[in-house]
Amino acid sequence: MEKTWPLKFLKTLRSRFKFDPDFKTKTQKKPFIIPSRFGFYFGSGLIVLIILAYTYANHLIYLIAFFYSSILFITMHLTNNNIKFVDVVDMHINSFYQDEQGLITLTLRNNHSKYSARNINIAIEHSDAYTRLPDIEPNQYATINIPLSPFHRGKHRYPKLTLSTRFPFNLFYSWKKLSWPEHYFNYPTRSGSLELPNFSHEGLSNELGLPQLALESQTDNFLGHKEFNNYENFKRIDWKVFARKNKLYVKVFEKENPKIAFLDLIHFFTSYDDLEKCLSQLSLWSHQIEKHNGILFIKDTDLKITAIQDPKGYKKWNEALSLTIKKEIVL
Amino acid sequence: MTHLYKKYPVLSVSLFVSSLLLFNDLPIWGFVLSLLFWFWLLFCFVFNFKTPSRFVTGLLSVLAFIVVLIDFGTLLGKEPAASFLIILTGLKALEFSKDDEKDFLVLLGFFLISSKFLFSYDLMYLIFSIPIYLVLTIHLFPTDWYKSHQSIAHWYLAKIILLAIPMATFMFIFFPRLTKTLMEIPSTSRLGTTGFSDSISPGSIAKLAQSNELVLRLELLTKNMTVKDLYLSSLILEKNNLMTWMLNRDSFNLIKTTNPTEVDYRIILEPSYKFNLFSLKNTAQLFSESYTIFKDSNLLFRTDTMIDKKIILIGSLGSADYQIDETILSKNLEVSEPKNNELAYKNELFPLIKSFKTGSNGPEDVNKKILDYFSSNHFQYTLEPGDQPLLSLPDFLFKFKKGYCEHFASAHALLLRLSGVPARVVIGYQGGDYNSIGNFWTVRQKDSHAWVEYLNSNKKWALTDPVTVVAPQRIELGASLYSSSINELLSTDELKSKISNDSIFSKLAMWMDSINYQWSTFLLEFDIEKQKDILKSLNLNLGQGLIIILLALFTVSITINFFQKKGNIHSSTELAFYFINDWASLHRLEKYNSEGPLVWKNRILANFNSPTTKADINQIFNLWIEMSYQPSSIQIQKQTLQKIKKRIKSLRDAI
Repeated sequence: MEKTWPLKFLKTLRSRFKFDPDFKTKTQKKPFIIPSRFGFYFGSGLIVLIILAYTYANHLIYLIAFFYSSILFITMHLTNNNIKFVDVVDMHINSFYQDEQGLITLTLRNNHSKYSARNINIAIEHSDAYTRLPDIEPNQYATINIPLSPFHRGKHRYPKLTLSTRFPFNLFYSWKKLSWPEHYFNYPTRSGSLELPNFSHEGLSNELGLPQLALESQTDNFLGHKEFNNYENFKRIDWKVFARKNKLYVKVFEKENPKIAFLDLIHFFTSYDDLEKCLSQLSLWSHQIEKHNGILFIKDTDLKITAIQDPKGYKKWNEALSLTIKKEIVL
Repeated sequence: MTHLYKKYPVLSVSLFVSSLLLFNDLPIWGFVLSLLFWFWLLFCFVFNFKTPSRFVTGLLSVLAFIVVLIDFGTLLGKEPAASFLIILTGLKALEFSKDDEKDFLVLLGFFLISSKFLFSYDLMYLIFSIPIYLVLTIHLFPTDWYKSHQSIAHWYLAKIILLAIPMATFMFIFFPRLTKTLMEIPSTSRLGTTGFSDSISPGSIAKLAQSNELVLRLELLTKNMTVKDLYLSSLILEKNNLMTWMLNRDSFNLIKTTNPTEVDYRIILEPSYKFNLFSLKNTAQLFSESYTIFKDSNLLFRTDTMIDKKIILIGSLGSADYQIDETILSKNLEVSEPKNNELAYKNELFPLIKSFKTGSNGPEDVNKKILDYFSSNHFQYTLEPGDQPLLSLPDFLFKFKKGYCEHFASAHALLLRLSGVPARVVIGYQGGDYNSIGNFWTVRQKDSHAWVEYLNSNKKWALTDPVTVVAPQRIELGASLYSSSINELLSTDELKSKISNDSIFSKLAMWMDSINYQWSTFLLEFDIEKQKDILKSLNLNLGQGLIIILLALFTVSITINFFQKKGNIHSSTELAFYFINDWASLHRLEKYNSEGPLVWKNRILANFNSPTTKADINQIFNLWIEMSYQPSSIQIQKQTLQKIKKRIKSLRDAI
């Protein structure tokens, strides 16, 4: 028996400092508090009042100064406790393209048994803007969406958040910082030509070992001609135009329902000098196909062909694009 | 641009009223300038004009600063500071354009309304200013929040105030407060325009008596007095020129007073911006905690600094212990004779003096004859004699025959002196309004009075008042009732009713005055000495008192935090269900209260066609049912929660 409690104590101590991989948030448990700018002026005003009361031996001014000192003191606790019991229980950011605005979905809970959490602001790291939370009733949750500006492409940790409040009288500023050890991706900007690269169903069916008919399900409308690029199938060259203009052109068709596209990455990379432009084009095309529930066949730089057709596949592909630092993608 | 009147009308009115409250206390130019800015703002609001730019208001602020400096010669002191503050508030209201500036205006408002109490302790002002303080405090709430949560905000404020009151009271009792001035701030007041100067001329007291301004409140602690016995002396005037009487500065022989062991009366004196004090006849000691008081050779009291704040005086009565020597006697027999009025003196005045002297048995007899002369020769007591600084004694006695108290006191003293009896004029207050509820006398400027002291046969200065014979009602009823009876031509019954003070309004007024008096007394008396007494009764000194304050604040702080109760600890099950519902709400699906989890799941499933999504939803619900209904450890529950979160995340990503 005698040994039990020290062991329990040591166990508690160990568990306190134990690294817990399930412990997701690094939320500051207790808020910090300082006087706000107005609080500083207000406090200085109170000091002046007390000096006046001393100077004129005026007990009424003393009383007023003491009354407002008490209000200042109570307000300090109110401001602190307004934020103290608010916890972030979930944070989620969907990966997003650089040319769109992201969204942070935040779930907060007011853990106080009696008082509502009022007028709490949330500021995002690297941004001056803040979002004001609606009042959260005691023991209740609130979910809010905060716009998130795009960063450079790649994998980013969730931005740090600062929960702050000046409630009720703007006399004190209390805050706590929150970091969430998860990541999101900023996919490359979608830009470039909307026209998808043409490919030979025959060639692709041969490479995949599939019958050609399984791939030919699209109806094309002729739109015009465009210059030939290295990565395009030479079979698509319009030789009649070449004869006329002495330059290689291919026919461009509008894909009414572009369900299938094929990208040979080695060919594709060689036609672009700028990696960013190249990734933007790939990003745009893959997005177009995903939008139409299509299948994207990619022959990666290891010459392996991968079919992307579900959200998970597209997510993996976009993440690969986000992380590419040289003209090399292996899926 | 946001207009103050439009955006914060109640705040504007509060600030404006706070400025109005200082009307009595500041120079008129400062007040008018402030009003000008407020009306400028109103003009811009009504006619939709643009308010002046910050450059203009900034320039006006600098100009106001310079004007205050020129007029007062300093910025230290309550009048220049309050004058600058009132102008600054007007200018700040005028330049208001952004919501952020509201807080600063509120702060100025706090200062403005508090600065009123540098000039007055009056409870009425405090009661009037409470709603203003409330309005200012309410405006500290975030504007948008307040608009949608007014009732909550009011309740919130009420709770804060209820908590602040005991704390403030505790600090007031225990926080060591000095009563002596911390630093000497030059008193620049030009406001002490009422009250006695060092001389009186015919008509000067009559002018003073037009004012209803409060002078002092007197509480008799050991003996009762009637209105006719109540004479409060301020100055003794021993030098005359015609009928003008002046202070004889040679008579000062100042002795510092001490705290009396027995207190016979207490005076709450309003700021008079003078040096002289008021005391009852035969006062041995007059003492104040706030000022050093000196007693002069005439047994009158004065301070070495101007009285610029409300003070409490305690007095003890005793026997006259002055010495009458030849110098005093000769000084109080001098009469400054006019050269151009010799005939009148020879033909009318000297025979009259001779009649007073003939057959008289001592000074009392002469005094009686003079009083009889006033009563039997149709002298008229008038409230409005007019200003007559060059009036001579014969003109008054034989030509005009009417005047106010100073005419009769002056003439009486001169007649006594001419008859060989040393005499002098005393100025102060006679009578007052008795408050039977609070058992104190309220003395106002209209009670100002002049009377005479002559040296009686016992070589003591005896009080004599000629007004008792020319207008006995003035002395018996007091100035208030007397002027009412004259001006309103009151009947005997009405006068009796006024004397008995039994009307509801009189009683109410007395109650209010009594509360005000108690309030002032409490504030003035609760000084550092009282604090020391309280702490002494608890076996503590001032330093320990301060430590107690700090400890108490720390304890309150700990207690507040201790009672902040954390709500129900949210279980993983509850959190998981919240996440499911939150995800469903993205698809505009909301769980009904009556709905069970399985029905809820089926309703969600009915809204999706994709088999993968349906499978995910099924899995999420299965996990939730597993964690809710199968007994498992907290750790396993946490793991299941993570699984549910992952599924929901993938569903979200799929959107």
